[in-house]
Amino acid sequence: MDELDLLDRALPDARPPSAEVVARARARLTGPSYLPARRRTWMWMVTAAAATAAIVTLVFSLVAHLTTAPPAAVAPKPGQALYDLADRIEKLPATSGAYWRQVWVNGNYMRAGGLTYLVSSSHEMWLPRDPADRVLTLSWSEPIASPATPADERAWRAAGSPSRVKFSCMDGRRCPYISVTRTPRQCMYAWDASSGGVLPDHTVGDLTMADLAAFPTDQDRLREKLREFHELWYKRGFKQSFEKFLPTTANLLSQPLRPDQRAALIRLLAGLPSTKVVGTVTDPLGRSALSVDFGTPGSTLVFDRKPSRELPVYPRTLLDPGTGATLADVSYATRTAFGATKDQPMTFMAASPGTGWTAKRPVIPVGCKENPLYKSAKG
Amino acid sequence: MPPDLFDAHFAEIHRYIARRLSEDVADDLAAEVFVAALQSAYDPAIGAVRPWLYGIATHLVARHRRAEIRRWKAISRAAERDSAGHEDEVLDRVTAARFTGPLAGALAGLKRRDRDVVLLVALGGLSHAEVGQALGIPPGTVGSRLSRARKQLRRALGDVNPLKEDSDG
Repeated sequence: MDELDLLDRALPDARPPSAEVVARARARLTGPSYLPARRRTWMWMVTAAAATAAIVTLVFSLVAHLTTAPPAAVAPKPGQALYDLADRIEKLPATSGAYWRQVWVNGNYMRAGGLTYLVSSSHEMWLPRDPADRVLTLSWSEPIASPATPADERAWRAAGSPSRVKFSCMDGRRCPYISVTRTPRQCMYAWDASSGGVLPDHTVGDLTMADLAAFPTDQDRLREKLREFHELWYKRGFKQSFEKFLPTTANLLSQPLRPDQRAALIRLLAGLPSTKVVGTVTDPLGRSALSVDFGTPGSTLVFDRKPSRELPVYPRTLLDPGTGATLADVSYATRTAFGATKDQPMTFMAASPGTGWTAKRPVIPVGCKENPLYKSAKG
Repeated sequence: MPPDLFDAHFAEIHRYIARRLSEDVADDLAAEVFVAALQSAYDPAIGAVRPWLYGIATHLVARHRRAEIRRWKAISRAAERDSAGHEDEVLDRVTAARFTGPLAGALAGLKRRDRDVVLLVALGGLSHAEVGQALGIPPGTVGSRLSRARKQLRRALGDVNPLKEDSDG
């Protein structure tokens, strides 16, 4: 027995993770909620940003075209722009299909060689209306980089258009090159038949398509419906009040709700004291959006292990002014530090065009490989 | 590569984190490891999967450095208080438990980089090469960090060779 054997024997052991812990961890791998930093999770928000940010030392910079625009109009009363949005979308025709196709991009703004790059990855989920059907997840998970602004593009060309870029890393961490391209890379897929129709975003509740379809279109009844989810959380030991739970329900705006249901939810959220309309902005994919602060806590980007090199960020939800659906969740710097300027966008998760109901069947792209991190259900 | 990395490795990654921090923290942090793994995308060129996952776990544990040091200090203090209560245990565990306090105290005093190496070997069972892969450092660096850490651990044990002591009764 040497010192190292002795360490293993002498130090307290740990119990195996419970089935619930395993199930919860697995659930986090199966959908958009595996990016909790950009979702408003209730109660265990704290673990948020570190997971992605810790992998690479992030040195962000200004991104001129993504700056928050001043409010487009002065709102007559708090949340009025949201009430107006609800009125606009309420009567829109509902769309339908066999699958809800959710397409999104994750992005980080990072600094290398004097330039700012957008480092991104693309993802896609096909969520069946039929609970017996399987969920298909596609991820082009290899991060790719592209110059963030036209000025960065010119500087990149002047530097000889390097085909790959290496960002600074936290010490002790492998730091790979990232390809400079706009073409998503390394497609991986996974079929999942184990969800039983439960949608991958569990932040509000374990919802199925049928649950969502039954959501009330009356604001008061919707509130009572949401109270049922709060009670479930409360019984699980999460003792925050219903009022503190309600802002989390803004996550449902990215889910397949009908326009009348979405309108009811927006009205409910507009009436919360924590909700503040920021104004009209341009989202990370260049679309006009209504920026809203639902009062959910921010998180922290890790530049280095030293506590002094962490940058708190605050979240905003950018809504489609035409549909009320979430266009993007964006995190902004709370202060000027590490190459970033206060209020500059730092990270985002943006819904891509193509998100919505479709009658098409899911198709795995040619060359896409099965993701070994999932346990695919074949057949 | 195993067909399902999550099933194959979640429990051991959870245990590794739980022993360094706590079971409560491990419940969330182990999940973060696989989230980060999913986002990073495994590259076979970097080596085996297991060290890669341990490397991510070690990286995330580093964010709780102060909590970890507090934990080792607390274990050290508790072990000193309880050191007289193990007469009925089997010899192996008595022997090991006698050293819990000094070892935990020594871990608290190690440099983080050295502690990572030691615990990847002792708790994770990784080889030197695998530790190198996990932390992205050359094998020689693993060796030097391990050597330095072992010296400090031995010093904490009073420069006693536990194996020799056991044999001699």
